[in-house]
Amino acid sequence: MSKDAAIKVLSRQLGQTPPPGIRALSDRELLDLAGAIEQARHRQAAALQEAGDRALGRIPRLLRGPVKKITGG
Amino acid sequence: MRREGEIRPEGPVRGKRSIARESGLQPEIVKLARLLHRDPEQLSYLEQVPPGDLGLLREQVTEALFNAHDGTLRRLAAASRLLPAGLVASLGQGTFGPMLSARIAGLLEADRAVEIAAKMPTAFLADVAVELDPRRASAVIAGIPPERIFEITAELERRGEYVTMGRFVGHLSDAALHAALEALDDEAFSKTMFVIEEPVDDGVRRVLAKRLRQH
Repeated sequence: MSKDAAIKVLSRQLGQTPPPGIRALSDRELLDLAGAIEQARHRQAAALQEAGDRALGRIPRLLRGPVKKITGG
Repeated sequence: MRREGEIRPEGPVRGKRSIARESGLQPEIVKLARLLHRDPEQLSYLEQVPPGDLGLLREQVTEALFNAHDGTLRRLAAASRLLPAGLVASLGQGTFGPMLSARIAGLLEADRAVEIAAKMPTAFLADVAVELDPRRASAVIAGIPPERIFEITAELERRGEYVTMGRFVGHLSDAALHAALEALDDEAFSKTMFVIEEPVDDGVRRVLAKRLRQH
């Protein structure tokens, strides 16, 4: 993969164009960084899903309905 | 103070962090590694990037991660209003953990977040501080009583979390900053000053300069 293509992958993960100094990195390093951001996002999504499910079981039964209504769960 | 090479009791992730603390990597790389939950050494290739651009990159990564599940986090913050502060504190500590609690903190009304934080143990608040983007929770930080800031700072110092403390300096009130500085010995103060995050206002500069003169 070319460096420009690797920067595009990184840009997609960031949702914006990275600063110009990032060109000092090799395509492999750029892809590693993009992968680290993607993994962090996935980890966050998984943690959120799991915590949301577990939290519901810990709140008083009477409040579960209203809470689910707000969270869309 | 913890001695060099001393085994840290908090587990493998923080164990890795302690290596990073003494790795000599740019603070921005250590901060970015925290965000990405990577060992800083794995990101050592970022040393090739100019420091200014590294700071911008970290801001972009922060934005990407904090905005990634913004809708869900906002709905959770809204739902938490239905629950007593004690239960929210318990859920934060026992179910959501420090990373998600840090993401949600800035989305709560500041008074409510402060009320919840008051019910959390200091060690957990230190965990949250490591994960928090102070710019997104400055109103919450400003509401934490100075005596609690002292306790959290002492805990962060115990862990060698100079990078975390450096991120917070510019977000503390005068009273909170004084309390935080009380918790730091001269060595920890110097290490924190080395990684302090700009900008800091004139009031903060004056307090820091006063402490420097006391060295």
